[in-house]
Amino acid sequence: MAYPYAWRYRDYVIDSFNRDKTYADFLRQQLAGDLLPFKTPEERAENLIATGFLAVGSRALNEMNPRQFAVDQADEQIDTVFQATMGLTLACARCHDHKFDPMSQRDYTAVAGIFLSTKTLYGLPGLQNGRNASKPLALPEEAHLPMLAKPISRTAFEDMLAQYRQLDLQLADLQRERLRQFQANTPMTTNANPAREVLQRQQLERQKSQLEGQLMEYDDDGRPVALAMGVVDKPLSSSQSPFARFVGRNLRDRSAFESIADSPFFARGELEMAGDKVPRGVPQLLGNADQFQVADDVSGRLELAAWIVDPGNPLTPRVAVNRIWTWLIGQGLVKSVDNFGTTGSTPSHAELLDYLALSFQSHGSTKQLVREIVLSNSYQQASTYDSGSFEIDPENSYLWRMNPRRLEAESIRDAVLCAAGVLDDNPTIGSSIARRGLGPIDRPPGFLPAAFRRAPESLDADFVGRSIYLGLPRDALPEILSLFDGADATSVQGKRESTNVPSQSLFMLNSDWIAEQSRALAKRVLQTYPGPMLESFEDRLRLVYQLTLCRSPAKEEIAAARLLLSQMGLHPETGWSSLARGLFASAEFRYLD
Amino acid sequence: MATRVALAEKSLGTGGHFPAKAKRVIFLCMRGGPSHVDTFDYKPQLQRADGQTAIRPGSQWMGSPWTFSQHGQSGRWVSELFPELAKQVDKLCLIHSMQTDVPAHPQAMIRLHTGSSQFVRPSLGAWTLYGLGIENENLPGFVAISPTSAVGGSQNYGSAFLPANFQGTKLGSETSDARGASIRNLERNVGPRRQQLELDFIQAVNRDKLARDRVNPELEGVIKSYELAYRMQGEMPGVLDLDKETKETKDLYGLDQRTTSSFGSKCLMARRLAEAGVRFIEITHGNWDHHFNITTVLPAACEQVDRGLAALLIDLERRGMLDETLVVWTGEFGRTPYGQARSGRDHNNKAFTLWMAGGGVAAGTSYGSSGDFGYEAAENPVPIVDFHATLLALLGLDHEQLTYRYAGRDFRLTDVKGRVVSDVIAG
Repeated sequence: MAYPYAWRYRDYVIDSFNRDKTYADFLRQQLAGDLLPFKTPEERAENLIATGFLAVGSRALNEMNPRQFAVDQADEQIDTVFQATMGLTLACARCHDHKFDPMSQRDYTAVAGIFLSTKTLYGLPGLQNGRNASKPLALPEEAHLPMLAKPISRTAFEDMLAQYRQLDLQLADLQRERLRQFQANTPMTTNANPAREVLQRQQLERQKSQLEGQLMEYDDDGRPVALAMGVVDKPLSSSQSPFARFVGRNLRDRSAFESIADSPFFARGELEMAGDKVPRGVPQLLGNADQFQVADDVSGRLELAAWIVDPGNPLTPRVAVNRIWTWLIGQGLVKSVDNFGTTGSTPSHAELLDYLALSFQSHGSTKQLVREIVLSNSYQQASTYDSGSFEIDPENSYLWRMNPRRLEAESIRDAVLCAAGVLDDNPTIGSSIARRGLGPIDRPPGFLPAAFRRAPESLDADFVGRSIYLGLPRDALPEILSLFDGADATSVQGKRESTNVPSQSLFMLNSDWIAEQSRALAKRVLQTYPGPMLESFEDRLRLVYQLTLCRSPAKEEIAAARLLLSQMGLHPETGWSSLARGLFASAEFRYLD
Repeated sequence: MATRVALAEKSLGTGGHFPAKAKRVIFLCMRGGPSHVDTFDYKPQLQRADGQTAIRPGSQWMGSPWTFSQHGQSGRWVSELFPELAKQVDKLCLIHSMQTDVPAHPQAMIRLHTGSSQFVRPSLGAWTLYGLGIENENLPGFVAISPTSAVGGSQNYGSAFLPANFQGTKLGSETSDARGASIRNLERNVGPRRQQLELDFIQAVNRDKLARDRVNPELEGVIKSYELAYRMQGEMPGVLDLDKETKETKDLYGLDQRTTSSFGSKCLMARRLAEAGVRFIEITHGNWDHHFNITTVLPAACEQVDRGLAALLIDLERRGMLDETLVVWTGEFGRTPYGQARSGRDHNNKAFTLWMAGGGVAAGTSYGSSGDFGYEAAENPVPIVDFHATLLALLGLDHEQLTYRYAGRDFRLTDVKGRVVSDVIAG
């Protein structure tokens, strides 16, 4: 399953950086946007979309125990929030006190209560097996958000609704028939074909869930409704029926955490071993946990967000500036970017980290921080090798040169498309996954037996927009992303691997995609300088080098290119395609130095 | 950074923690959950109780419709559904008391392959490569033949946080025939001469750059990876070319019969890959999810694989490879001894049978029991995590020492559990 509404959160993140929102506001919106005050519908919509951060994580949708599902979901949120913002592996304290860092299982439980009091709306309405379905979050109509769906006529909407009701009735009939057989104790053998019955029910359920999802995307007049992923607070326990309250008081709480409440302490993390409830709170490690107060009628996310961005919190700004430093310089002041605990690495330049963190905390501007780093001498150094320095500091911890580093998968893809002249750098509305709509992405819509299901090689095979707009279905990642160490979207990964493996080379040499872009680049070069072969050779070569390597060819490179073209035969497009492929495939193309 | 790059390319590489019995693994995954009580786990009491009220309310025991008999010197019971494999039973070590925690396909499949169904974790093959290294650098170290895109898909042969070159290379898909299957981008897009010229140009550009930079390990890595890619492109099609085998061998694997040729060619391909130095080979065969019409669908599935399985064991032995090749056959769980609408059997995570052969396992033995009815492991239960510990032990790896540091802590295939079942290892 893929999340069809995730793209609004993606756009929110892009927009936040473009507008240079302060980091504190950025975090506050993502952790508790639904609880923030707002002045306009646009602001409300933005706040709600921001909470998509808490909803886009991976979850085991097949989990059969709703209580287990709830605690696993909260655990994923705790893990992501604390690693991303503070570099803390608090989730390690789920089943026992943290083995290395000063965080107890009680600390974990205090935070868990906050997330167990939060309802996560990830927008997968009717899953086929009926378990763990979730509605999307509806956004205010007055915000006039971009929409993927086109309006449909009122009759079309009503037809859909009628179809839905029809399916509902059919399913109810099947259910009744099964019940009747069961009550009459009719042996199931009398049923001529039980397999057919099950398949029929599955087919109806899938159709129904698809319709349910489609219906949700329109209002009663057939106008599309803007939907997103996000979170809201759960209802108060007082809204429960007297019976539920009675059960809650007198029996061990077996509910799937339906309302705002503290979390029980689960010995060894086992659901079956629920102990006393731990008041919602924050970890003790900053020494200010005693001042943390959460009213009975709120989850505590707003308070948690305030604690994370509080000027007294030393970790949040350090983790943030270290991430930005890492992306710009290639290695962190603290190398373990997601882990500032005792098993992480110590800073190479502690005072620099302090200075950057304090100034970032006071201005909150990412753009200002980036400007400060890129204007530094460290950033502007050449990557030239120096044997003396190398002997003293082979890891370049003290930054005696710029680190040569490989482009990330997305940048390689964008750079190839850009050089080929086919990149569409306009923002994309929606995504391939959003356009595909609800339902599993490993099979075409409608009913097909299991044997015919297969993941599409890539939903975005022909997409020429920027890579940030690619869909990321877990089992059908765009090929270039899975080959060039793209991030695993199911976990926190602040730093990527940078591997050199033969499958990358095979992709460059043999893939249809590179072949296509090479032809496009060849055409571009030939069209720019349409003159006769010999006269335009050097102009063309300069252009192809500029487009791929951002420099002019050296003398020996001109000779190598001339040799290649002369051996490649008469058709200029063939020769220039080979040359283009060769430059895309070169190490220099994918390394920054 | 230098260390990180080195780590990405090499494994622990120093060989195992203790003497290895097996050097490589052929993992035969019967997706969907084969019925153990109709194949390898003989239950006379279940036969007698056929039609009587069973353990689950409203259900009746369903005796196996198939006849079991004893085979080989070891006298192990095998049902008539595996006539060829039954002749090889003295090579097998059958574990009748396997257990997994959830009777749902995706969780159980991912648990079988990675040890965890909740989190994305490296697969068995990735851990094996991390522990033992890649044997033949011209080939991928881990090949997944016809993997399924469902029930976890690539997670089942992925490397998660382990370096990317430990992930399984996909060969064909579950729905395609294995013959003619290839690895992505292995086939040249242009003629051989043109590719040679292109490669010469690429490497010239790379070497010019290296000359300018003087020292640049990453760039040397790129140059090396083109050499490897070129050799892989040259070597792999030969390894996958089943026509290099004699008619006798092809017939042994059932390539001459329509029903057996698909799985048979996958098995033959697995043997050729093993011979060429691929460390971990997995074959996925589906679908064994026999809820209904089991009397038709189970024999069909068994017939597809029986000949290939037997051939693989015979062929590995006669080539002297069986001793160092661990062959594992299993589903993600078993099936219930009570019927489902008297037509088929439901999922059973409480008991199922896994067998191993070669690679230092105690041949001709069985371990554990699933009680009188095959409903639940009764003696010596073996949870998946213990199977994982045992598999690593057979490869010479201590599951407690095979750790990888990530996100601030050491990760293991067996997490905090795992016990080596030493009884299934030859003394």
